[in-house]
Parts: sequence; structure tokens; C-alpha cells
Amino acid sequence: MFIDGRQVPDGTIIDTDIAIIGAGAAGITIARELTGKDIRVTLIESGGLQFEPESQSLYEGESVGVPYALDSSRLRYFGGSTNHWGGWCRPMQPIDFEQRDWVPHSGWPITYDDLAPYYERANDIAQVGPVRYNDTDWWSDDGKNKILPLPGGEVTTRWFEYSPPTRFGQFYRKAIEKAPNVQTYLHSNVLEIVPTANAAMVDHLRIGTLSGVRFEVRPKLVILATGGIENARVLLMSNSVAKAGLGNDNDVVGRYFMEHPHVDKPVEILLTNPEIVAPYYKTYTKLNGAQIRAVFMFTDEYLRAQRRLGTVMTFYESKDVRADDTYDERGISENRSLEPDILQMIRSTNATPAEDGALGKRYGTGCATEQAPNPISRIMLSHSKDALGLQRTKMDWRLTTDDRTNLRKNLEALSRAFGQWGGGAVKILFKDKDRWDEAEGWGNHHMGTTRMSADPRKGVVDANCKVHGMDNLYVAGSSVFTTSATVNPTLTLLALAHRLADHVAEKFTRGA
Amino acid sequence: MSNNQEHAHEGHPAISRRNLLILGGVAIVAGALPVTFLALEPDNSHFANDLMSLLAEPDAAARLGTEWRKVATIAREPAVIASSIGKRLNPHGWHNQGTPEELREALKAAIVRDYANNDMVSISGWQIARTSAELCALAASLSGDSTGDEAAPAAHAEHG
Ligand SMILES: Cc1cc2nc3c(=O)[nH]c(=O)nc-3n(C[C@H](O)[C@H](O)[C@H](O)COP(=O)(O)OP(=O)(O)OC[C@H]3O[C@@H](n4cnc5c(N)ncnc54)[C@H](O)[C@@H]3O)c2cc1C
Repeated sequence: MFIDGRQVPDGTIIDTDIAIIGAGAAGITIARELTGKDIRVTLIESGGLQFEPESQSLYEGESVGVPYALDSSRLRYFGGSTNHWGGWCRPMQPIDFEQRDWVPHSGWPITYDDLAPYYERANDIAQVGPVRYNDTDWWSDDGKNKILPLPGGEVTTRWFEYSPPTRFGQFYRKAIEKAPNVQTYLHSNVLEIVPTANAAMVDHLRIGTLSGVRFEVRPKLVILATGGIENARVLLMSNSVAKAGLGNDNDVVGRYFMEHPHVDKPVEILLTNPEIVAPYYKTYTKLNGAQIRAVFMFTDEYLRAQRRLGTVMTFYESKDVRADDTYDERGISENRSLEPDILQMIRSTNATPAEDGALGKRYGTGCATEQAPNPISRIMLSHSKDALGLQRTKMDWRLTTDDRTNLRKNLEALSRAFGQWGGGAVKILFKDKDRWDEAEGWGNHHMGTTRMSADPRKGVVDANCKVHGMDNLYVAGSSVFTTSATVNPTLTLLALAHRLADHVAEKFTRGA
Repeated sequence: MSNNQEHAHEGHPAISRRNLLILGGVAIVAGALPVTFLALEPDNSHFANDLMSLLAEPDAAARLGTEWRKVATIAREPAVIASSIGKRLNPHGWHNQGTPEELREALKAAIVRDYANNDMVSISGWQIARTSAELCALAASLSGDSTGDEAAPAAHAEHG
């Protein structure tokens, strides 16, 4: 059932078993998983069923680090940011969960194997194809598609699969609305998670609407699922009892904010033989029950040996390069003028003379890269207030020289791979400088602000996503990521949401 | 710029593009007429010629070599450059009497080794194996390129 919070009588108190705050990818997934169980679920959503500027403006805030758009990088209505996500899906790699001694603050308290079965369910709910993310044979289409044979063992081809992209708010709306045990409150903002006097348990949730209604939800268990930035903000704002905010005894809430810095054209690639580039490298390709795209990633062996963090690289056709290209005459920028020469060089040493002047093709690239967890990259509360009277978000996103160097070194590894193969060459365009002073781009991926760690001094939630020091407060979403990996976060947060749903359902079955 | 550049080379017959093609036997893409190559030191001239003969388009290599010279301190004498390339090939079984095909294979293997050993140089951002880059520098020197002759940086300025 959907209830408009603006119609709820002021001062109402609602008792429930589980309150889920936020109806985005994580919240809807958990509500769906709990549907039909003997558990009363209350789903509390800030927005309505459509975009409304008034609700959206609650997401505005200050950015004081690497410039970041707090507002347009997420959506505040039923379905959350899946109302405009791109659907890129790929699980993290096992190495991403490990403690890597060269990555400070790395190491999840769970492993890839703990999450593997839930990735399958995540694939289902996001309507992605078969779980074949690393399966070269599966995507070979009976031998028609071949991966580029890049030698050296540093770079490898892997695949993303696409969600249609599922708009969770539209696709699962009916199921949530009809779920007999789920009540959804729309236009209802959690203003504060109010704990008991000793701050060891959630007592109730203070809810408010933009029209001025105030009511309470009294749950036995709470799952905070308001997105990777807002999860931290809500915990920090919940400070009427614990002055530093909930789960923040060790000053970790909001810290370690991570994104995936995105760089457009970090390199360009020239290939002498474009014929051998399988379609799945160049664009979204429908194949064997899925929509896929091949990417270049870096092998575990390379990452370990060179002590690097990962990068994902996409690759697309740009332009034919011909021997008779006369760049200066056609006014094409001077930096293109060496392209025929580079291809001639490769062809000379390879003994593959050009025919009809066609020397090869230029390819553009894009990349997303892993940033190391960094405690000073963080979400805080601003002094300015939103329309509900709550402190807005203040974001201080930090990227370091090491993060830049890491990407640069990975681009050099890519250059080595193409060079050793002998069929191409790589031009590094990513600037060799210290600072990320202008945001080169990002992925709208908000991670790390309520990070998972077995040690309460180093993380906000434990391996079950329960807030350290609190009996009945859990967090869902990419804010729990300990490290960011390089792949888009939603499939992993959906896997974690399934795991959390099972965990809390079991608690209630056993008697909460 | 290294001291090697102080030596001038004169008096040896120019190598025509046509000669290079005959030597190499590689199919060539039609292009502008080549630059006139300057002289080689007698000892290494044979090897330098052999190397040049592998190039489909010596002018293309020379342009890359010239570009590299703008940011890096590289020997100017063809003999020195050829000898440096030879040193990369010899320990791996190349002997100066090989056929052009054997030379090409040896060169190819050296390029693969360079990349594997991260021995790359940057030519306008292009990540090029040092052996290939030296081949380009050789072509540039033979074409009479004088880039970098003036105001040579004292230190090794290469971004490879
Ligand atoms: C343009 C864009 C493209 C993207 N593309 C991809 C992609 O291709 N692949 C990928 O993996 N990820 C992508 N993402 C990220 C993806 O959308 C998020 O990872 C995902 O939606 C996060 O799910 P969530 O449930 O944690 O948060 P959200 O989906 O953001 O949901 C949070 C919900 O909480 C509600 N809420 C917030 N505060 C409160 C409050 N105080 N009280 C009550 N409710 C509240 C919000 O209204 C919202 O409905 C993209 C994001 C954007 C913006």
C-alpha cells in the first residue's frame, strides 16, 4: 500500500517490525525480498512517484573539494537514482575484497565468495543476462568474436553486462504497492533516527513532510538505504542523543568517500588491423541473451606485482588513418599529424605493408579508475539548511597525487600490452600533473561513507551491515563499501542488499 | 644533448629512397619524395642501411625521430645510433650477417623486449619502444635533421 505522508495526521505513531528508509535500488530490493513474509515492513521514501523539484532540492549541498554536483548525481523520488542510471553491471573481483598491503585501509570483512550467490540474485533483480562476466567462450559467438591477444599478462579483456536499465521505481512499483506486508510512505523524510538514551538501539524515526506534517515510526529494526552520500548525512544528523551522530563514536561516519574518477580519452589507440576488433569492444552488443560491452582491465598478477589499484577502460572506433592524410591542409590539429607515421612504423617492423593507403584506425577510450580509501575525503554537515530545517551536505572529495600516478601507470601498462602485441600503439593524453584540480569526471558512484570493517575503530558497519555499537540499525547501499574497486557499484550493492534481506528475515524468523 | 652531436658527417654518398626500397624489398605506400640522407660512418653504414631498408616509409620514421629530438637528448651520429640499436639485438642472437628478414625479426623481438621491460619513450605522447624510437632517430639523422642542435638541454630531458 502507498500512503502519502502529507495526509498522515500530525503526531501519528506507526509501529512496525522493519523500517526501510529510502526506496531506491537497495530499499526496493530489500522490501521486495521481505514481501510475503510474516514481517511488517514500512518503506519510507522522501519523494513521490515522480520527480519533484521541491524534494530534489533537499539534495543540494556544498562541495569544497574536487568539484562535485551533489544534486544532479542522484534522484530523490521513488526508485531513487535508478530513475536515471545507465545499467552498467559487473561484479567486483575477488582481489577487490582483499586486504592489499599496498592499499591503505583496504580489506573487507567479507570475501567475494561470501557475496557470489547474491550476485546471481542481483543479476536477476537488475534484469541482467546470464552471469558470464569473465567468460571469453560464452561471448565468442562460436568463434566469431575473438579477444585482442594482448600479451604480457598485465591487461585482460572482461565484460560488462547491461540492465535494460531497470527503473526500480517503475518496474517494481506494482509489486511493492500490492505487497500485503509492506506499507510505503511517500513524501516522507526521515529527519532523524532517534536512539534510546544509551544510543545502543534505535527507538523511533522522526518523519517530516515538506508540507509540515510530523509523525513517528517505531520499528524493531531499521535499514538505512538513502544512497551513498545521504546515508552518512542521516547518521550525522541523528545527533540529538549521540552528539557526533549515530555509529560515529570513532569519527568514521562520512569519511573515506570514494568515487570512480572518470577520464574521457586518457589514451588514444592506433591499430593497424581494425578487422580483428570484435564488435563487443566498440559498442553495446546484443549477444547470447545479454547486452554486453568488453573492457580492458588489469590482471590480479599485475595489480599485485606492481602494487596498483585497478582501472577499467572502454574503447570505441574513432577514425580511419590513411597514408595520404594531410592534416595540415585540412586544418586538423597538429597533434594528429604523427598518426600515419606511427602506423607506418608499426607496419615496417611487422612487415605488414599498407594496401591502398589505408594504414589503420584510431580508437578513442574512456576510463574509470579506483581511488584509494582516504579518511580526509569526506561528507560533513554544512551550516546551511534545507527546506526541512536540516543541515545540508558538505562534501570534501579528495583525490591524491597517488591516485593520478596509479592511473598513469596503468595507462603505461596498457601501452606495453599493445606495444608487445605489435598491432597497435597507445598515446597517453592523461596529463602528467599532481592535482585533480578540475574534476575530470566521475561516475555518480557514492561509496565508502559508512564503510564495512570488523573493527569499530575503522568502520561504521560490521560484516552484516549492522552499525557498530547499535543493536538494530543496518545500512544498505554503496556507502558500506570498504574499497571502491573499479566497476560500477549497483550490482554489488544489490548483492549486499539481498544478503542483508536474508539476514534480517532470519532474525525475525528466529524472533527479533 | 650528448657530446656525440659535436661530430659532423660529410662526404659520403647520399642514399636514395629507391635504394632503400630495393634493399628492403618492402611494399611502399606512395608518398612524397624522401629527404636526402646524409652520410654514414663507414663501419656502421652497412648496418644503418640495413635498418633503414626495413622501413616502409623512412620519411615517416624521420618525422618521428625529429619529434623525439625535441624533448630528448639523443646521439646525432647515425653510426652511434645504429650501434646502440645493434647492442640491443646482438645479445639476443642477432649477427650482422643476417638476412633482412632475420634483421626484421630481431628488431621485432627487441621491440617486444623493450615494451616488456617498460623501456618506452614518449613521442608526442605515443608510447614507443626505445628500439623503434632509435630507429626513428637514425632516420632523422640520416635525413639531415638538425632539431635539437641548438640550446641542447644539459640534462637528459626525455619523458620516456
Ligand atoms: C546518471 C547516473 C547514472 C548511473 N549509472 C550507473 C550505472 O550504469 N551502473 C551502476 O552500477 N550505477 C549507476 N549509477 C549509480 C546508481 O544509480 C546507484 O548506485 C544506485 O541507485 C544507488 O542505490 P541506493 O538505493 O543506494 O540509492 P538511491 O537509488 O539513490 O535511492 C535512495 C532513496 O532514498 C531516498 N531518500 C533519501 N533521503 C531520504 C530521507 N531522509 N528519508 C527518506 N527517503 C530518503 C531517495 O529519495 C531515494 O529514493 C548511476 C547514477 C547516476 C546518477
